[in-house]
Amino acid sequence: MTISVVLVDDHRVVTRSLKAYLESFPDMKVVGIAASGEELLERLDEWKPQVILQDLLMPGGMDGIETTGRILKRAPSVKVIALTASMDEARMMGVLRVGAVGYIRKDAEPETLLAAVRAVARGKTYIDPSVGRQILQAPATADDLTPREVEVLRQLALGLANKEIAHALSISEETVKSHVGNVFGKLQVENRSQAIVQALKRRLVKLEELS
Amino acid sequence: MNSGKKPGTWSANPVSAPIVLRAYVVIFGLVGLMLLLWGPMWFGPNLAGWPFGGATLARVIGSLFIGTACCAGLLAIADDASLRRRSLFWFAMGHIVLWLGLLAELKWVWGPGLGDQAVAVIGGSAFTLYCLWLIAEGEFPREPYAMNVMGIPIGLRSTNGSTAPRDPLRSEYEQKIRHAAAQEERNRLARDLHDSIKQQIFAIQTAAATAQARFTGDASGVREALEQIRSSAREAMTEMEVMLDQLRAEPLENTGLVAALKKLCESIGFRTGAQVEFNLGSVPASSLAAPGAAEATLRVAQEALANVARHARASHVLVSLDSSESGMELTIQDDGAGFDTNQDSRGMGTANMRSRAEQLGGRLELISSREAGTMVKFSIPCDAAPSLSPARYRNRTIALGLMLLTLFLNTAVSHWSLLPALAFVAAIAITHYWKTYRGVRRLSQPTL
Repeated sequence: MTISVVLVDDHRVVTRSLKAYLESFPDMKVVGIAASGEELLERLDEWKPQVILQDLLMPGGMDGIETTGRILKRAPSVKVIALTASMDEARMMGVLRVGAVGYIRKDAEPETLLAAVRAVARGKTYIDPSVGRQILQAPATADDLTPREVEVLRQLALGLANKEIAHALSISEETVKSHVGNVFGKLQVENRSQAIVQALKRRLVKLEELS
Repeated sequence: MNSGKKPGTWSANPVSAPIVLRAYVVIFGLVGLMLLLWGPMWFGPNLAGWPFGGATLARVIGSLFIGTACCAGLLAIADDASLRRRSLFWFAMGHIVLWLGLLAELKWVWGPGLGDQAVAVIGGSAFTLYCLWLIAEGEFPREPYAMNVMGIPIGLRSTNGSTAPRDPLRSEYEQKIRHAAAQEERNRLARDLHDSIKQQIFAIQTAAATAQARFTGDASGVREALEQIRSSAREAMTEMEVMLDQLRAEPLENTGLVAALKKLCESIGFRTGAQVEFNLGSVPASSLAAPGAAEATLRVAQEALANVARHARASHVLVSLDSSESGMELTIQDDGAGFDTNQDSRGMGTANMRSRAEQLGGRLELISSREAGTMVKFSIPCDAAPSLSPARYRNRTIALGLMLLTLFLNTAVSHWSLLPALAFVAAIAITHYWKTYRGVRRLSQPTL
């Protein structure tokens, strides 16, 4: 099963070489290349990609966060990976909030990009290990969660669905749902990707466990 | 910047020099004409007892007035500030000499009766005139020779008593501007480095990974990846050179404007994937005669093309360098996104480009609208333009000198005792012409 990918970057050399790299692997197929968010949105229906690798910083009117939001409004099942030069946590939380499921530094090794595309295609959230390390360098956030909520957050961060968490913790799915709601409320996050960052900050999961 | 009234400093820019000069032309021209026409009638009978008579005196003064009015008129229409500043200095010096010469005539030759009050009044007015000129220019002359005529520092003493060759406030302001410009330049370079070389290196890294990944079983894929590595490295090299050009204090030292522009176009093509065409029209070497003209042209091209790379998403870019009616013209045109010139032109170095144009007496035109591409037109006056051309300036200076000489020959014919004054002024004039000529020669040999 090949993964169809669209590359969005205004630097021609970058997209050209990335396409050649990704297509070195039989499970990858680059179905389109766009130089701007506008161009991507225009041809999204034609390309129908599974994964979009998108540079956050591009010329033109639309910024990466806005583009990501619009893509997911039109095609909610698409997995968006944000490529960025910025290591700013607020920005990362911003792009994860609008629904990106991957966050990678622009100068990451090509292998990292490949791993990210494969991970998000499998339905996982992928945070660049070097970004993750940076998060881990920050002082651990004080814990205001109950032990049960901590356990749920950990499972959540590991990519388990509610049903799997329920099974792992031997509680009902309804209880898991209410725990997840409480966790999101307390951490002020809106989705799993953001929750993962918070779990990292609380040292509830290790970087190695995530990938 | 203007009229910074701080103790111990000179204020700058109170009056525009051309206006003062035009007023001078009107007043002195009319007075001179009146003296020539009716002077002999008024002076003749009253000063009949003087050698050569009052009528001659009236004619001499009248023709002097008209002569200086003509000079002032010439200076008023020459609108290159630095050349005018220098000319004005000598013009004012000429006045002092003329007045003093006339004074000597009045005191010792014609009118022994005229006393020391006349010396004070006429000398004082000549000196005031000189100072007025300098202040009208908005800036005191920078050249040491202007500060120090024959060892006498002329009046440029700030109120706290120390000699002030430059207005400290102004210097500080200029320094700030330079600092801000340097900062902006640095930011732009950082962005450029990110946009060009960093991307190329990323591409090299990725292509190398591609070669590794395809190493077994896909020879043609590996070859392609290696080709990509080489071409990216080559492009990175060109972009690096362009970047170094931008870092150099004198970017055109080794290459010349046309070569630098070509390389710049090539590098923008690599960076954006757009087709960047460079069109060279007929640009005579003398077009770049104004100090810094070539450098300013390159800097504007760098700025404008960086904008094209960063914002335009163009597929075609046309850069042309040509001579125009008013001088030399650099046009950068793209078919990209464009922008609303009323709104979002901030942070695009437009002010920077505009100030470069204005420094050279030229202008910057920016035509753009959303989805309709952008055109930047940078034009600076040169040979064909009356204001900046060294040749024209030289002709004018010669005409000016001839006028002065004729004037003095006339007076000398009417009375030989004017000869020392004539010799003195001629010496000043010759020094001035020599300096101008040397300046012009230096300027008309730019690297193209």
